[in-house]
Amino acid sequence: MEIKKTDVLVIGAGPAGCIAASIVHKNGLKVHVVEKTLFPRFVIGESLLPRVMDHLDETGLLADVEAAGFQKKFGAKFVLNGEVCDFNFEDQFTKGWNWTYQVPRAQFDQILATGVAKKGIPVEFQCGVISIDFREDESSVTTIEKADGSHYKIEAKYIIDASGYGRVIPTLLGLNKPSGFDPRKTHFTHLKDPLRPSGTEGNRITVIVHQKEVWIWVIPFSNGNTSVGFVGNPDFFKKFPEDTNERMKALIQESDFLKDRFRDQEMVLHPRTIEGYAITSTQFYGKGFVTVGNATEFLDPIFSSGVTFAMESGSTAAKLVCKKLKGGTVDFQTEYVEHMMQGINTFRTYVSSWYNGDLHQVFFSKNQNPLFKKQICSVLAGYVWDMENPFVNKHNKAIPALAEVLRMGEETIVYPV
Amino acid sequence: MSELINKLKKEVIEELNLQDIDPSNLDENTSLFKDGLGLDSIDALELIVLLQRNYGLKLASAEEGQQVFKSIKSMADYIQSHQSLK
Repeated sequence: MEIKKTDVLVIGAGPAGCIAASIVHKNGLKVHVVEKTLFPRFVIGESLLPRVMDHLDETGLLADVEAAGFQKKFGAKFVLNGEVCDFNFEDQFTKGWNWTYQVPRAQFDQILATGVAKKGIPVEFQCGVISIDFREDESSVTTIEKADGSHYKIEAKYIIDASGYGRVIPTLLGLNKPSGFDPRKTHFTHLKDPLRPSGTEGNRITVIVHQKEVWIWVIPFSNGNTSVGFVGNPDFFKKFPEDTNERMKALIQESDFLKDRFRDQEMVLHPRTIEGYAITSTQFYGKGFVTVGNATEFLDPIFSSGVTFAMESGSTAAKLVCKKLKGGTVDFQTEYVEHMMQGINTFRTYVSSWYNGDLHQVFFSKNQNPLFKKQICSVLAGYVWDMENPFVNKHNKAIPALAEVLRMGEETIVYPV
Repeated sequence: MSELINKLKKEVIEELNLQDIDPSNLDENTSLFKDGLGLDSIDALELIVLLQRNYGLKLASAEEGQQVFKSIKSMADYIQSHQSLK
């Protein structure tokens, strides 16, 4: 059987894998990417955060993304019962990018993978991992299955598992762990959008609070289509038709924000449901491997942290792997796990506070403190490693305390009936 | 008054997670914010919550907060004068 050799094997050509592979290459080591699917392929996760731009810039992939003409995103807009809470990324606490993109991932991921291949990095599609043999010296031999059913092996000094929902190594080694969140479900589609309001407002990503534990995303793309998704408590979806198309149509009619605009519009993507998407791992690294992106942990679609964490973890892990392979001393626990957990735990607070109503209290209060808003805006922009920001540093106290104080001012949030 | 001061010291240390500080080392006149203890805006929110939850007192404004939270002593004074009105 054919045996290829490389320094670092990257499993998965999504955002985490592409950033990781680019960083390894930049550090002068040999890297090989295997991807199970054939690009372009649909995947969800269409809203990026400004933090992403730092990673695209560092890996030289930004120019290709810019050339694609995706819809630019300058902030986040939250709506509850007609009240609007607006975050503008220009008005934030941490120094960073003020904008990013809203992207159909099939095109975005393909641009990243093509950019990686252009650097001379082998990216093989329709190549799935069958088994991995880890050796004592941390090197590995991975058996790959190609589209035609034939197998080959790759010998690598280290593996970066960026397999996303595939969770290759966590599954192989039994590392999967429930996230600790209440279960949630999402139902979404892409629609033609001829009735989109004109001007910048019409192109903005909007999050609509439909009920306390149910929200709707509206993500306009530059190709004229718009992604619409409902996220919430699985019980909420029970009263809607079983058939996915009928269900989507019925959901759209539930919302004043959506019903007239999308009633007669063609769904260009067959509606999909994802349930139980939140997950984590007992280990983020082990002998000869490190997991990155969704293969490690995924929280929730609210606040769009997925691709940001994918790229942050891909970059951080790749740098550490390179340092180790070059003979340096690396402590994955402090330099990788604790770094990622700092960011993940910050977003976790915000996700919990969103579904328990605390964040609604904060967002829709008549009494907005401008400094707090800037600091929260930086979290929403993905800058969750800035320890100067008390809303990052003390995230688990800051939001509940602020919500409590606002409630004491006798402001009550009124949810739609 | 000294009973209240001691109680307050313990409550503030616990609420704000100031584990390295022993109540006996915390002077009632030490400035809580800025140069003294160096508390921040989030700590201020928690003190507001503490005042409401433990003593049933609601501050009228952020400006009032700046006066009330100057030190443990000023907090105790505020609690004493407002509780006697109840």
